[in-house]
Amino acid sequence: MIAPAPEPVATGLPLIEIRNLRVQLPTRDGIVSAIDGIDLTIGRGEIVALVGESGSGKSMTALSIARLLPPAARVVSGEVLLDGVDLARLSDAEMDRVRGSRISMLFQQPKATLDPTSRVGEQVGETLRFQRHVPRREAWDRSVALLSDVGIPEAGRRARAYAHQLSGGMAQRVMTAAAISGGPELLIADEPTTALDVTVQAQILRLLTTMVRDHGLSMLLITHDLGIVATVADRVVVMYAGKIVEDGPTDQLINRPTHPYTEALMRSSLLIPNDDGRLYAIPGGTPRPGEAIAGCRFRARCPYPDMLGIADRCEAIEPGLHACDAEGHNCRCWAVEAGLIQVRQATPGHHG
Amino acid sequence: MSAGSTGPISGPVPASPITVRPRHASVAAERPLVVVEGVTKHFPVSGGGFLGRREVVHAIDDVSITVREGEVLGLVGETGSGKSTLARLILRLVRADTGRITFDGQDVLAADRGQLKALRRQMQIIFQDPFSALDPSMRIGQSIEAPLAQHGIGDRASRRRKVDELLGQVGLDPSFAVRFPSECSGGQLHRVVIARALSLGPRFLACDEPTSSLDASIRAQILNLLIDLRDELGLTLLMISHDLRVVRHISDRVAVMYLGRIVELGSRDEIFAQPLHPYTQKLIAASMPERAGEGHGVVQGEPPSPINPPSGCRFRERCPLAIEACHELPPFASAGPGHSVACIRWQDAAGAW
Repeated sequence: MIAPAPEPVATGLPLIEIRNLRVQLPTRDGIVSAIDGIDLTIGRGEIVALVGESGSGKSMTALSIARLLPPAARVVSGEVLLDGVDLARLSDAEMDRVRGSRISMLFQQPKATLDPTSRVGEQVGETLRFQRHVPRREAWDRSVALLSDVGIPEAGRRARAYAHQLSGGMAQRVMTAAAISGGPELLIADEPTTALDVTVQAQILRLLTTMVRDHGLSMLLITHDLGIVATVADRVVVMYAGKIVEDGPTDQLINRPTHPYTEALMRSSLLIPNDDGRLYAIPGGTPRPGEAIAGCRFRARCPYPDMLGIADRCEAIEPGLHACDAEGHNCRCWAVEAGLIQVRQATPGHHG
Repeated sequence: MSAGSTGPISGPVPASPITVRPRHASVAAERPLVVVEGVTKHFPVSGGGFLGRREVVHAIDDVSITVREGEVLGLVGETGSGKSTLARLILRLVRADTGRITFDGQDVLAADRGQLKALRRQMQIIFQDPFSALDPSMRIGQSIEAPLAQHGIGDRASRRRKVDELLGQVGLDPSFAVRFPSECSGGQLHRVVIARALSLGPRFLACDEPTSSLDASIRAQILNLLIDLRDELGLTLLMISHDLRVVRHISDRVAVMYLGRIVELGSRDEIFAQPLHPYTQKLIAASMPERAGEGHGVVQGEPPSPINPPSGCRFRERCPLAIEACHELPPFASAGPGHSVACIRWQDAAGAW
């Protein structure tokens, strides 16, 4: 059953390729660019973590890949390619077949995602029955086997349960079984452990990684928790206000965060106090949706423009995403590009 | 002052091995502010049917704990551990079935309407989700002013001045008073909810997962604010969180709950340096990537149902150290100065950490 895991380094055609994607949403404050021109590739067998805070556009990116954007959202430009095929060109019926059998999704609230009126075994078997045309009885048996694979004890009995009879951790295992039932190539997991208790979070993360590696899947893991990223992902992509500000191999990015935002996010996530006992906090907040920003989006919260005397440039011109080294580490920052701040050694306090 | 001066004279506070946060100088005295003694709360489960066995959720079972004036007591535990119920019991938002709760010596359970209203001026609570804690149709200023008006404090003009002052205290511009909740970010709403809780000048503030819904960069801002307020106003805080990093930073002492019982209590430094209960150890390991990586943080199984909790030690079914004797209820016993644990195998657990 266990296929050898492909090398995490993508070879040949990437599984997912996002090119210059822009998505706009109408809000009370006018039209807002939720995603403002991103490029992102996910290789076969690769686990990519997409990190960012509320409003950074990370969940919109996930929904764009699955073509599940809210009806009011508009893709202004760009394309999402699956194996080189533009998903926007597929008919709705074709896209329905892609979901579940090639791309599947896992959400934050497993109990809200499950249908409360149908037995979980039925729900896990839905992709098999309706997309693979497996007969009902056989689909049920395969559901039970899948539930057992994801670590549910007494799977035969639990398959007959309803969503309300499951704990959060069990419900997320059921959703995992449902997500992999159709044998997808890409699993998109949007904050899959955020709503779970800490001890159960560890179980679910371990399960997801094992499932993805054993079945040779690719995974896009969306999270705001940098702790999760370090243990799971091959590559990390950091988004801020609709743009990618930094991306690179996980250990590079975790140990040597380069963009001032990534560095600040890591320092504030670790909750390690300064010498005076106060926690480091990023000043201010993310730009308000719809706020017009000419230069760098992080400029108002960043200490470097004034410190380095480059405020004019940071305010006037948006920096590009450029390579920091030969190992695929990219960063969108004038100070880094000009060599004014170095690619750091380990973050202060990272080792406690 | 008090006739029965039989209490121990508090000695000097031992130096903490890691200097995380400077102690507030004026709160060294260990004067109890909130005392919970043998409190139990069971909630009936709806359903069960005619002739059906009446089932109850064991939310809190025989819990005793003291919150000292001026301290931050961290309360950790997972879903269903009863930590939120405990906070609600202290404020009498729900009534305890049995046991005794006092606030500054005054019986909370026996308080009549008038006494309770006076007590609530001294005890406040803030919740996890500020969006649902605020009326969307009321301006921020009205929300903050409401408790003052309800308690008949000041006139309109003085209350308005108080609102401006409170907004300033939580780091918001007075112009926020005319905004609606929908015009504020999550972090800003958190500050509003804190300002409202402070409006009556409470001495005790229970914070129920106050930062769980916030982004990392905002979470640190709110935690800094809570610490500043505690130092400025001499508040006593009960800090409920499932995030061990938050509790580690902000607490003086930490209590760990599991399925309705307190299983360990000690100083912050003791609990994190030498956790004694196997459950506490799992919880801490799960929040520390360097330990979680070795599988320490993974607990077998799910938390059992609080409807039919296991007999004896409630963690025994998931505990790697459980033995036959764990079927008996373990005593909550001292394991060192200021450190108590409800585990008969704590010495073995200590060795394994």
